[in-house]
Amino acid sequence: MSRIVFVLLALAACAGLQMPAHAQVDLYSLEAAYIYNFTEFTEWPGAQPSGALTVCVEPRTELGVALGKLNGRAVAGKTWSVKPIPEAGAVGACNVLIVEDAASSAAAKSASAHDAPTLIVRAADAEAGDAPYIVMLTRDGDRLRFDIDNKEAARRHLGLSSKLLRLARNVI
Amino acid sequence: MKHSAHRGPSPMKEMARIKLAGFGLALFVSGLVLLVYQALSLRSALTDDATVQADMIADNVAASLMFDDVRSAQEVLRSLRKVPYVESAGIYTSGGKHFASYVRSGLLGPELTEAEPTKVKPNRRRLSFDDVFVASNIMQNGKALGTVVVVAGTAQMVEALLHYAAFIAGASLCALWIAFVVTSRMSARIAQAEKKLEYLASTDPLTGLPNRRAFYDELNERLQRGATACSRAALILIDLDDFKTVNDTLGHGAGDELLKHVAVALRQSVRMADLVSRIGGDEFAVLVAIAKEKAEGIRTAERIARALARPFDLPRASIVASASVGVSVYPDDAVDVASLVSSADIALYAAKSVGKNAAVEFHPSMTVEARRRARLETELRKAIETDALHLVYQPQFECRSLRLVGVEALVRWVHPVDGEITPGEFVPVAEDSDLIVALGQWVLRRACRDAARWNANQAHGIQVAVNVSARQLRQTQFAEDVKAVLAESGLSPHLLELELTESQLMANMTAGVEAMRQLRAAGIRLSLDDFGTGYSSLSYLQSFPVNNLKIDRAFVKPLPQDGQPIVTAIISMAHSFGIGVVAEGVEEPAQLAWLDHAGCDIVQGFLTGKPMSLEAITERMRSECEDPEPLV
Repeated sequence: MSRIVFVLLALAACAGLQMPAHAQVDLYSLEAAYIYNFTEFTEWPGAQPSGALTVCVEPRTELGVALGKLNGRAVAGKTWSVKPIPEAGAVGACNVLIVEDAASSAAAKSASAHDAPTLIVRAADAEAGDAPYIVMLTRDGDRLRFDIDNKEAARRHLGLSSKLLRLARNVI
Repeated sequence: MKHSAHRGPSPMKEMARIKLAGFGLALFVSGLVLLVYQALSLRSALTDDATVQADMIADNVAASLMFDDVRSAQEVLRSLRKVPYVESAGIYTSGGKHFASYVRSGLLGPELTEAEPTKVKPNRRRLSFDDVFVASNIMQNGKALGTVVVVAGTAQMVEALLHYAAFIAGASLCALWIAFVVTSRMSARIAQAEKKLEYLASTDPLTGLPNRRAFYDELNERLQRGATACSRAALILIDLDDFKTVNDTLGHGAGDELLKHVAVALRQSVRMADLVSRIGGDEFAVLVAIAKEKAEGIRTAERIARALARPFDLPRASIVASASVGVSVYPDDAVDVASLVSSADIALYAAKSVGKNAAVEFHPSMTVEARRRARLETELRKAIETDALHLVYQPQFECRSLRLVGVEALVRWVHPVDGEITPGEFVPVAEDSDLIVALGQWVLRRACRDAARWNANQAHGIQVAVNVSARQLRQTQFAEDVKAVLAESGLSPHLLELELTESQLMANMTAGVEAMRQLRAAGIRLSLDDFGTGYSSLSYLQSFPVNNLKIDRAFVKPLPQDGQPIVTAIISMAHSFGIGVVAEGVEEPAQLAWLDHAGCDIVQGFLTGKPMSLEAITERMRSECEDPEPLV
C-alpha cells in the first residue's frame, strides 16, 4: 500500500498539486496515475492539436471516475481532456482509449479506431476479449504491472519511450 | 707546478657540484608542483566522470521512479559495476526517502551506506584523497523526481598519481644524470684548461723551466717550510755575461738555443729536488737546499759557474757562455724572501764587477757598497743637473814634433762630503743606469764649449777628444745631438774627436756603424779606444770608419823592453788602413823614443802631460803658441 501512496505522491509532484492527506487511495487511482504516466512517455505522430490530449474512457466505471479527476492536468505541454468514449465512427479522435468492458472493446476494434494513432490501454480486470491493446495493465498483488505491444504501437505510429519499454513486464 | 697539488678541489668543479645540487632541487620542486597539479586535475576529472555517471543514472531511473519500479532502478544502478571507480550509489525521492542503491562488492562497514545526499559537497577542486560525492537531480519533463548520489573512490586516482610520480621521478633522475654527465665533462675540460693555463702562467715557454712568478711563489713556500724545519737554502742568481753579444752577432735563434742549453746545464748541475728557474731574459735562479754547512752554497754556485764556462754547441757556432753567479744563503744572509733576493742580487752585481765567469758569495759589506752605489747614483744625477762636475784635459802630442795637437777631456767629480770620487767608481754607476747618457751629454757639451773657447783665436786648431758610451751610441738621435752641441758651441766639427771602445761597437754593430757614418759625414773625427784588448778583428777596422786607433796602455807599459811586435804590428796595420795611431799611458822617455821610432803618430801620458784644469791647459796652449819648442 505504501507503494501506491508513493506513486500518487510522485504523480502529485508531477502535476504540481498537493494531494489531500485524507484522500482515499485505491487501486483505481493508482491505475489512473499509471495511465497518466504512460502519456508522459508516449509521442503521438504528426501535428497534434496542441493544448489537448483526449483521453476517452467509460465515465461511469470507478477507473473512469479516477481518471476524470485528472481532467485538466498538463502533460508535456498538453492538457488532459477526459471524455466519454464517442460513437464508433469518431473513436479515431481519441488520443488515449481505455478499454475496460465489451463496449469499449468494441470501440477499440471499430474501423475508425483501426489505424488511428490511439494509445489503447487495457485496464486491469478488463473483459475485453481479443480487442487490440498497446499497454495492458495487470494486477500483481497490491501493485500493477504492464505489458506493451510495441508492434501495435509502431503500426499506429506511436512512439513509446525506451524507459517505459524497459519497465514493462513483457514487450511484444 | 708541484704546489698546485696542495690546493683543494678546483673551484670550477665545486661550482659544477653546486649547480647540480641546484638543478636537482629545481627538478624536485617542479616535480612536486606537477604532482599537486596532477592530483588536483585527476580529482577534478574523477568528479566530472562521476557526475556524468550520476546524470546518466538520473536520466535512466526517472521512469522507474515514476512507476515505483525498484527492481528496474537497481538494474540501472547495476550498470555502474562496469565503472571501476564508483564505490556506491543511491537514489532518493524528492522527499528524501531512499529508493534504491548500489554498492560495489568488497566494500565494508560504513561505506555500504555512505551514498547520501547530505554528504555531497559543492567544493570540487581540492587536494584530497577522500571519496568523491556527487549528486544529480532526477528530472522528468522539467519536474524534479529525486536525487542520485554517486560515491567515487580515489584508489584509481591514487594509483595514477603514483604512476605519474614514478614517471616524474624517473624523468628527473634521467635529466639529473644527463646534467651530471654534461657538467662533469665540462668541469673535466675546465679543469684541463685550468691546468694548462696554470702551466702556461708558471712556465717559461722557451726552456720549460718555471718562470719568475712561479719561482717566487715556490721560493716563498720553501722558505716558510724551511723556517719551521730550521733548514738552510741557498738562492743562486745567474746572469749570462755576453748574452746580448750572442743575440746581436748570431741572431735571436742562436740566443734561444744558448738559453736552452744553459737551462739543461743548470738542471744537470743541481739535484732533482732543487729549483731551477728562468726569471728574466738571460737571468736564471736556482734554489738549493743545504744539508750541512753554509759553504755548500758557494760551492754549488762555483760548480754552476764552471758548468756554464764550457762551450755550448749551437747549430752554427760553438759558444762559451760564461756567467756571473751570485749566491746568498737563508737564513744566514737574509731571513725573508725580499732580502734573500736582494742580497743574492748584490752578490751577483759583485760577481759582475769582479769580471766574467765569477761566483761570489754575499757578504754584509756588499750591502754597504750597494747602498753607496745607490746614493752615488742619486747624487751624481743631482751633480749633473747642477753642473757640479768639472772637466780636466790631458794633452796629446804629435810624436815626431811633440807639438800639442789635442786634448782628451776627462770628467772629475768632487763630492761635497766624500771628497773626490774617481771616474772608476762613478762611471760604472752611471753605466748601470741611463745616467750615462746624461753624463756623456754633459761632458760633450762642456768639452765643446771649452774647445770652442780655446780655439777662438788659434791659427792651429787644438782638437778635443770625448769618450762616448755604448748607451749613448744606441740612442737613435745621438748623431743629431752631437751636431746640435757643435752648432751651439760653435766648435768646428773636425776639432771634435769621439772615442769609442771596440766592445761597445760590437754590442750594437748595425746601429753603431750607422751612427759613425753620420758623424763622419758631419766632419767629426772618430777614434777606437782600448784597441787590442777586445776582439780586434781586422774586418771591424774595415767597417768602422775611424780616424785613429788608441793603443791600450797595457801594451805601452812594457815598452821598450817587451811587447814591441804587437805595437809594431798595430801601427803598421793601422797605417796600411790609413788610420792614425795614438799611444796611451806613455810614462818613460824611452817609451816615447821607441814609439817615435816605430812610427806612432800621437802620444798621451804622464810624461808629456797629466790631466789638467781648463785654465792650466789654456795657459799651456798659449805658451806653446809663443814658444813652439816642446817642454820635454
